[in-house]
Amino acid sequence: MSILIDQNSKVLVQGITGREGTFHAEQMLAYNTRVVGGVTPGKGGLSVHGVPVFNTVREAVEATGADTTVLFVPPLYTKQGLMEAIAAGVPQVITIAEHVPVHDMMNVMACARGTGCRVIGPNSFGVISPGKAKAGFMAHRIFSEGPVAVMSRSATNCYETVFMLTERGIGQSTCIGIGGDMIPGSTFTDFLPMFEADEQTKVIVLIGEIGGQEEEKAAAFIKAHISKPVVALIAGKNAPKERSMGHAGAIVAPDGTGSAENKETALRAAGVHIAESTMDIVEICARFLA
Amino acid sequence: MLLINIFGGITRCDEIAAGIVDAVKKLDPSCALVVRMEGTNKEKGLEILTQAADAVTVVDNVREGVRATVAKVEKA
Repeated sequence: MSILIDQNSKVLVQGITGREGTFHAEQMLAYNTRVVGGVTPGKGGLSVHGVPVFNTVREAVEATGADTTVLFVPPLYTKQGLMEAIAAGVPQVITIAEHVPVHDMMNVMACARGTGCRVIGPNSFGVISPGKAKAGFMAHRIFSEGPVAVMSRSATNCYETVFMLTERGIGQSTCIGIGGDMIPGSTFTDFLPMFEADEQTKVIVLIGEIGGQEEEKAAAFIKAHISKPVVALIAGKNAPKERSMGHAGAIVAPDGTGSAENKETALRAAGVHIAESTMDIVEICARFLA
Repeated sequence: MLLINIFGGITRCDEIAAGIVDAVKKLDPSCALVVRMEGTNKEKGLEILTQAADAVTVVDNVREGVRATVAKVEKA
Protein backbone atom coordinates (compact mmCIF):
# COMPACT_ATOMS: atom_id res chain seq x y z
CA MET A 1 0.00 0.00 0.00
CA SER A 2 2.11 2.92 1.33
CA ILE A 3 0.50 6.24 2.30
CA LEU A 4 0.01 9.83 1.02
CA ILE A 5 1.36 9.28 -2.49
CA ASP A 6 1.49 6.47 -5.05
CA GLN A 7 1.39 5.78 -8.79
CA ASN A 8 -2.18 7.13 -9.01
CA SER A 9 -1.45 10.50 -7.36
CA LYS A 10 -1.78 13.50 -9.66
CA VAL A 11 0.87 16.02 -8.74
CA LEU A 12 1.15 19.74 -9.47
CA VAL A 13 4.41 21.68 -9.20
CA GLN A 14 3.97 25.29 -8.11
CA GLY A 15 6.95 27.31 -9.29
CA ILE A 16 7.65 24.83 -12.11
CA THR A 17 9.36 27.45 -14.30
CA GLY A 18 11.95 28.27 -11.62
CA ARG A 19 15.37 26.61 -11.46
CA GLU A 20 14.51 24.12 -8.72
CA GLY A 21 10.95 23.58 -9.92
CA THR A 22 12.08 22.67 -13.43
CA PHE A 23 14.88 20.38 -12.28
CA HIS A 24 12.82 18.50 -9.71
CA ALA A 25 9.73 18.23 -11.93
CA GLU A 26 11.99 16.39 -14.36
CA GLN A 27 13.30 14.16 -11.54
CA MET A 28 9.75 13.36 -10.39
CA LEU A 29 8.78 12.45 -13.96
CA ALA A 30 11.89 10.26 -14.21
CA TYR A 31 10.56 8.39 -11.15
CA ASN A 32 7.28 7.78 -13.04
CA THR A 33 5.32 10.22 -10.89
CA ARG A 34 2.20 11.56 -12.59
CA VAL A 35 3.17 15.24 -12.73
CA VAL A 36 0.02 16.59 -14.39
CA GLY A 37 0.67 20.32 -14.32
CA GLY A 38 2.72 23.26 -13.15
CA VAL A 39 1.76 26.71 -11.91
CA THR A 40 3.58 29.99 -12.40
CA PRO A 41 1.55 33.22 -12.47
CA GLY A 42 1.95 34.91 -15.87
CA LYS A 43 3.48 31.86 -17.54
CA GLY A 44 0.27 29.95 -18.32
CA GLY A 45 0.37 28.23 -21.71
CA LEU A 46 4.03 27.27 -21.51
CA SER A 47 5.15 23.70 -21.14
CA VAL A 48 8.02 22.34 -18.99
CA HIS A 49 9.29 18.82 -19.82
CA GLY A 50 5.95 18.26 -21.54
CA VAL A 51 3.98 19.37 -18.45
CA PRO A 52 1.42 22.14 -19.08
CA VAL A 53 1.89 25.35 -17.07
CA PHE A 54 -1.12 27.25 -15.68
CA ASN A 55 -1.46 30.77 -14.28
CA THR A 56 -3.36 29.73 -11.16
CA VAL A 57 -3.76 26.62 -9.01
CA ARG A 58 -7.52 26.72 -9.58
CA GLU A 59 -7.11 26.52 -13.36
CA ALA A 60 -4.58 23.73 -12.97
CA VAL A 61 -6.86 21.70 -10.69
CA GLU A 62 -9.86 22.17 -12.99
CA ALA A 63 -7.86 21.03 -16.01
CA THR A 64 -5.96 18.13 -14.42
CA GLY A 65 -7.80 16.93 -11.31
CA ALA A 66 -4.55 17.20 -9.29
CA ASP A 67 -4.76 15.88 -5.72
CA THR A 68 -1.29 16.89 -4.49
CA THR A 69 0.79 20.02 -5.04
CA VAL A 70 4.46 20.67 -4.28
CA LEU A 71 5.65 24.26 -3.81
CA PHE A 72 9.10 25.11 -5.19
CA VAL A 73 8.46 28.70 -4.21
CA PRO A 74 10.73 31.09 -2.23
CA PRO A 75 9.87 31.48 1.49
CA LEU A 76 8.35 34.95 1.21
CA TYR A 77 5.94 33.81 -1.55
CA THR A 78 5.09 30.53 0.14
CA LYS A 79 2.11 31.90 2.08
CA GLN A 80 0.51 33.15 -1.14
CA GLY A 81 1.14 29.84 -2.88
CA LEU A 82 -0.21 27.81 0.04
CA MET A 83 -3.33 29.99 0.37
CA GLU A 84 -4.00 29.62 -3.33
CA ALA A 85 -3.67 25.84 -3.15
CA ILE A 86 -5.91 25.62 -0.08
CA ALA A 87 -8.54 27.86 -1.69
CA ALA A 88 -8.45 25.76 -4.85
CA GLY A 89 -9.32 22.70 -2.76
CA VAL A 90 -6.12 20.68 -3.26
CA PRO A 91 -6.32 18.02 -0.51
CA GLN A 92 -2.55 17.68 0.01
CA VAL A 93 0.02 20.47 -0.15
CA ILE A 94 3.77 19.94 0.27
CA THR A 95 6.00 22.96 0.82
CA ILE A 96 9.76 22.88 0.32
CA ALA A 97 11.32 26.27 1.16
CA GLU A 98 13.00 26.78 4.53
CA HIS A 99 12.38 29.83 6.76
CA VAL A 100 8.78 30.62 5.88
CA PRO A 101 7.90 33.45 8.33
CA VAL A 102 6.28 32.04 11.47
CA HIS A 103 3.34 34.44 11.21
CA ASP A 104 2.70 33.34 7.63
CA MET A 105 2.49 29.72 8.73
CA MET A 106 0.15 30.63 11.59
CA ASN A 107 -2.21 32.22 9.09
CA VAL A 108 -1.91 29.37 6.63
CA MET A 109 -2.58 26.71 9.25
CA ALA A 110 -5.59 28.62 10.58
CA CYS A 111 -7.02 28.63 7.04
CA ALA A 112 -6.09 25.02 6.30
CA ARG A 113 -7.68 23.66 9.47
CA GLY A 114 -11.24 24.40 8.39
CA THR A 115 -10.82 22.88 4.94
CA GLY A 116 -9.32 19.50 5.75
CA CYS A 117 -6.31 20.29 3.58
CA ARG A 118 -3.17 18.45 4.68
CA VAL A 119 -0.14 20.75 4.69
CA ILE A 120 3.30 19.04 4.82
CA GLY A 121 6.32 21.28 5.50
CA PRO A 122 7.60 23.97 5.26
CA ASN A 123 11.24 22.97 4.94
CA SER A 124 10.17 19.47 3.88
CA PHE A 125 12.04 17.28 1.38
CA GLY A 126 8.62 16.00 0.36
CA VAL A 127 7.08 12.54 0.34
CA ILE A 128 8.20 9.39 -1.47
CA SER A 129 6.60 5.96 -1.70
CA PRO A 130 9.54 4.03 -3.15
CA GLY A 131 8.85 2.25 -6.41
CA LYS A 132 5.61 4.20 -6.87
CA ALA A 133 6.01 7.98 -6.91
CA LYS A 134 7.63 10.97 -5.24
CA ALA A 135 6.62 14.57 -4.60
CA GLY A 136 9.68 16.50 -3.48
CA PHE A 137 13.41 16.77 -4.06
CA MET A 138 14.91 13.65 -2.44
CA ALA A 139 17.52 11.75 -4.50
CA HIS A 140 15.24 8.83 -5.33
CA ARG A 141 17.82 6.22 -6.32
CA ILE A 142 18.80 5.56 -2.68
CA PHE A 143 15.23 4.47 -1.85
CA SER A 144 13.86 0.96 -2.26
CA GLU A 145 10.40 -0.50 -1.74
CA GLY A 146 9.74 -2.37 1.48
CA PRO A 147 8.33 -2.51 5.02
CA VAL A 148 9.92 0.44 6.89
CA ALA A 149 8.14 3.79 7.20
CA VAL A 150 10.36 6.81 7.85
CA MET A 151 9.33 10.28 8.99
CA SER A 152 12.00 12.82 9.75
CA ARG A 153 12.43 16.47 10.66
CA SER A 154 15.88 16.39 9.04
CA ALA A 155 16.26 15.51 5.36
CA THR A 156 19.89 14.41 5.68
CA ASN A 157 19.23 12.12 8.64
CA CYS A 158 16.43 10.53 6.63
CA TYR A 159 18.63 10.09 3.52
CA GLU A 160 21.46 8.58 5.55
CA THR A 161 19.07 6.15 7.26
CA VAL A 162 17.40 5.19 3.97
CA PHE A 163 20.78 4.80 2.25
CA MET A 164 21.91 2.31 4.89
CA LEU A 165 18.53 0.53 5.01
CA THR A 166 18.68 0.01 1.25
CA GLU A 167 22.33 -1.13 1.45
CA ARG A 168 21.17 -3.66 4.01
CA GLY A 169 18.39 -4.87 1.69
CA ILE A 170 15.61 -3.29 3.75
CA GLY A 171 13.13 -1.21 1.75
CA GLN A 172 10.73 1.57 2.74
CA SER A 173 6.95 1.98 2.49
CA THR A 174 6.66 5.77 2.59
CA CYS A 175 9.19 8.41 3.71
CA ILE A 176 8.00 11.83 4.82
CA GLY A 177 9.88 15.07 5.40
CA ILE A 178 8.21 16.71 8.41
CA GLY A 179 10.45 19.77 8.03
CA GLY A 180 12.60 21.69 10.48
CA ASP A 181 10.84 25.03 10.75
CA MET A 182 9.08 26.35 13.88
CA ILE A 183 5.55 25.48 12.71
CA PRO A 184 5.24 22.20 10.83
CA GLY A 185 2.01 21.84 8.85
CA SER A 186 1.75 18.16 9.79
CA THR A 187 3.73 16.19 12.26
CA PHE A 188 4.51 12.69 13.56
CA THR A 189 1.16 12.34 15.30
CA ASP A 190 -0.71 13.05 12.05
CA PHE A 191 1.03 10.20 10.21
CA LEU A 192 1.28 7.57 12.97
CA PRO A 193 -2.34 6.34 12.56
CA MET A 194 -1.85 6.11 8.78
CA PHE A 195 1.26 3.95 9.16
CA GLU A 196 -0.51 1.85 11.80
CA ALA A 197 -3.27 1.16 9.24
CA ASP A 198 -0.92 0.65 6.28
CA GLU A 199 -0.46 -3.05 5.50
CA GLN A 200 2.94 -2.55 3.86
CA THR A 201 4.44 -0.86 6.93
CA LYS A 202 5.90 -3.26 9.53
CA VAL A 203 8.24 -0.91 11.41
CA ILE A 204 7.93 2.86 11.92
CA VAL A 205 11.04 5.04 12.15
CA LEU A 206 10.69 8.47 13.73
CA ILE A 207 13.68 10.81 13.36
CA GLY A 208 13.21 13.78 15.64
CA GLU A 209 15.47 16.47 16.97
CA ILE A 210 15.63 19.07 19.71
CA GLY A 211 12.95 21.78 19.91
CA GLY A 212 9.19 21.80 20.27
CA GLN A 213 6.99 19.12 21.77
CA GLU A 214 6.08 16.97 18.79
CA GLU A 215 8.15 13.94 19.85
CA GLU A 216 6.55 14.05 23.32
CA LYS A 217 3.07 14.18 21.73
CA ALA A 218 4.04 11.32 19.44
CA ALA A 219 5.13 9.31 22.50
CA ALA A 220 1.73 9.75 24.15
CA PHE A 221 -0.02 8.78 20.91
CA ILE A 222 2.17 5.71 20.39
CA LYS A 223 1.52 4.49 23.91
CA ALA A 224 -2.25 4.72 23.41
CA HIS A 225 -2.72 3.74 19.76
CA ILE A 226 0.26 2.15 18.00
CA SER A 227 0.88 -1.59 17.99
CA LYS A 228 3.71 -1.69 15.40
CA PRO A 229 7.31 -1.34 16.58
CA VAL A 230 8.57 2.25 16.56
CA VAL A 231 12.28 3.15 16.38
CA ALA A 232 13.33 6.73 17.18
CA LEU A 233 16.48 8.81 16.86
CA ILE A 234 16.64 12.25 18.47
CA ALA A 235 19.34 14.50 17.01
CA GLY A 236 21.01 17.27 19.00
CA LYS A 237 21.98 15.64 22.30
CA ASN A 238 24.93 17.98 22.81
CA ALA A 239 23.19 21.17 21.73
CA PRO A 240 23.43 24.19 24.06
CA LYS A 241 20.21 25.81 25.28
CA GLU A 242 18.66 28.87 23.59
CA ARG A 243 20.51 28.41 20.31
CA SER A 244 18.86 27.13 17.14
CA MET A 245 20.92 24.33 15.64
CA GLY A 246 20.70 24.22 11.85
CA HIS A 247 16.90 24.28 11.72
CA ALA A 248 14.84 27.24 12.94
CA GLY A 249 12.75 24.87 15.07
CA ALA A 250 15.71 23.00 16.58
CA ILE A 251 16.11 24.98 19.78
CA VAL A 252 16.08 24.02 23.46
CA ALA A 253 14.25 26.51 25.70
CA PRO A 254 16.00 28.03 28.78
CA ASP A 255 13.95 25.72 31.04
CA GLY A 256 15.10 22.66 29.10
CA THR A 257 11.84 22.20 27.15
CA GLY A 258 12.60 20.55 23.84
CA SER A 259 15.77 18.79 25.00
CA ALA A 260 16.79 15.45 23.53
CA GLU A 261 16.75 13.97 27.03
CA ASN A 262 13.07 14.88 27.61
CA LYS A 263 12.10 13.46 24.25
CA GLU A 264 14.00 10.21 24.71
CA THR A 265 12.54 9.75 28.18
CA ALA A 266 8.99 10.24 26.89
CA LEU A 267 9.52 7.91 23.93
CA ARG A 268 11.16 5.19 26.04
CA ALA A 269 8.25 5.30 28.46
CA ALA A 270 5.96 4.68 25.49
CA GLY A 271 7.89 1.54 24.52
CA VAL A 272 9.74 3.16 21.61
CA HIS A 273 13.19 1.78 20.78
CA ILE A 274 15.75 4.58 20.97
CA ALA A 275 18.58 4.45 18.42
CA GLU A 276 21.91 6.13 19.16
CA SER A 277 22.79 6.77 15.51
CA THR A 278 21.45 6.33 12.00
CA MET A 279 23.41 3.05 11.77
CA ASP A 280 21.73 1.93 14.97
CA ILE A 281 18.27 2.59 13.43
CA VAL A 282 19.13 0.13 10.68
CA GLU A 283 20.31 -2.50 13.18
CA ILE A 284 17.13 -2.22 15.24
CA CYS A 285 14.90 -2.37 12.13
CA ALA A 286 16.81 -5.44 10.91
CA ARG A 287 16.13 -7.18 14.26
CA PHE A 288 12.39 -6.50 14.01
CA LEU A 289 12.24 -7.77 10.44
CA ALA A 290 14.38 -10.89 10.98
CA MET B 1 42.05 17.94 8.66
CA LEU B 2 38.63 18.64 7.16
CA LEU B 3 35.89 16.06 6.57
CA ILE B 4 33.13 17.20 4.20
CA ASN B 5 30.00 15.01 4.20
CA ILE B 6 27.28 16.00 1.70
CA PHE B 7 24.08 14.06 1.14
CA GLY B 8 22.53 16.00 -1.71
CA GLY B 9 18.78 16.39 -1.99
CA ILE B 10 18.10 19.94 -3.10
CA THR B 11 21.82 20.52 -2.65
CA ARG B 12 23.58 19.33 -5.80
CA CYS B 13 26.87 17.47 -5.47
CA ASP B 14 28.31 19.05 -8.64
CA GLU B 15 27.87 22.55 -7.18
CA ILE B 16 29.54 21.50 -3.93
CA ALA B 17 32.38 19.86 -5.88
CA ALA B 18 32.93 22.99 -7.98
CA GLY B 19 33.14 25.00 -4.75
CA ILE B 20 35.70 22.61 -3.27
CA VAL B 21 37.84 22.68 -6.44
CA ASP B 22 37.64 26.47 -6.50
CA ALA B 23 38.61 26.72 -2.82
CA VAL B 24 41.55 24.33 -3.23
CA LYS B 25 42.86 26.37 -6.18
CA LYS B 26 42.47 29.75 -4.49
CA LEU B 27 43.42 28.90 -0.91
CA ASP B 28 45.89 26.05 -1.34
CA PRO B 29 44.79 24.66 2.05
CA SER B 30 47.39 23.23 4.39
CA CYS B 31 44.92 20.72 5.87
CA ALA B 32 43.99 17.38 4.34
CA LEU B 33 40.48 17.10 2.84
CA VAL B 34 38.27 14.02 2.96
CA VAL B 35 35.05 14.30 0.93
CA ARG B 36 32.03 12.03 0.90
CA MET B 37 29.27 12.89 -1.57
CA GLU B 38 26.02 11.05 -2.17
CA GLY B 39 22.66 11.98 -3.69
CA THR B 40 21.68 14.47 -6.39
CA ASN B 41 24.23 14.76 -9.23
CA LYS B 42 26.78 12.58 -7.41
CA GLU B 43 28.48 11.37 -10.63
CA LYS B 44 28.94 14.90 -12.00
CA GLY B 45 30.33 15.95 -8.61
CA LEU B 46 32.85 13.11 -8.47
CA GLU B 47 34.02 13.93 -11.98
CA ILE B 48 34.59 17.58 -11.05
CA LEU B 49 36.46 16.55 -7.89
CA THR B 50 39.10 14.73 -9.97
CA GLN B 51 40.42 18.22 -10.84
CA ALA B 52 41.55 18.50 -7.22
CA ALA B 53 42.62 14.85 -6.90
CA ASP B 54 45.95 15.76 -5.27
CA ALA B 55 44.32 17.63 -2.41
CA VAL B 56 41.13 15.59 -1.85
CA THR B 57 40.56 12.03 -0.69
CA VAL B 58 37.16 10.85 -1.92
CA VAL B 59 35.32 8.20 0.10
CA ASP B 60 32.09 6.33 -0.48
CA ASN B 61 30.20 6.49 2.83
CA VAL B 62 30.28 7.91 6.36
CA ARG B 63 32.13 4.97 7.89
CA GLU B 64 34.89 5.20 5.28
CA GLY B 65 34.99 8.95 5.75
CA VAL B 66 35.53 8.65 9.49
CA ARG B 67 38.16 5.92 9.00
CA ALA B 68 40.09 7.97 6.44
CA THR B 69 39.91 11.05 8.65
CA VAL B 70 41.15 9.23 11.75
CA ALA B 71 43.96 7.61 9.75
CA LYS B 72 45.12 10.98 8.45
CA VAL B 73 44.97 12.60 11.89
CA GLU B 74 46.99 9.76 13.43
CA LYS B 75 49.58 10.06 10.67
CA ALA B 76 49.93 13.83 11.14
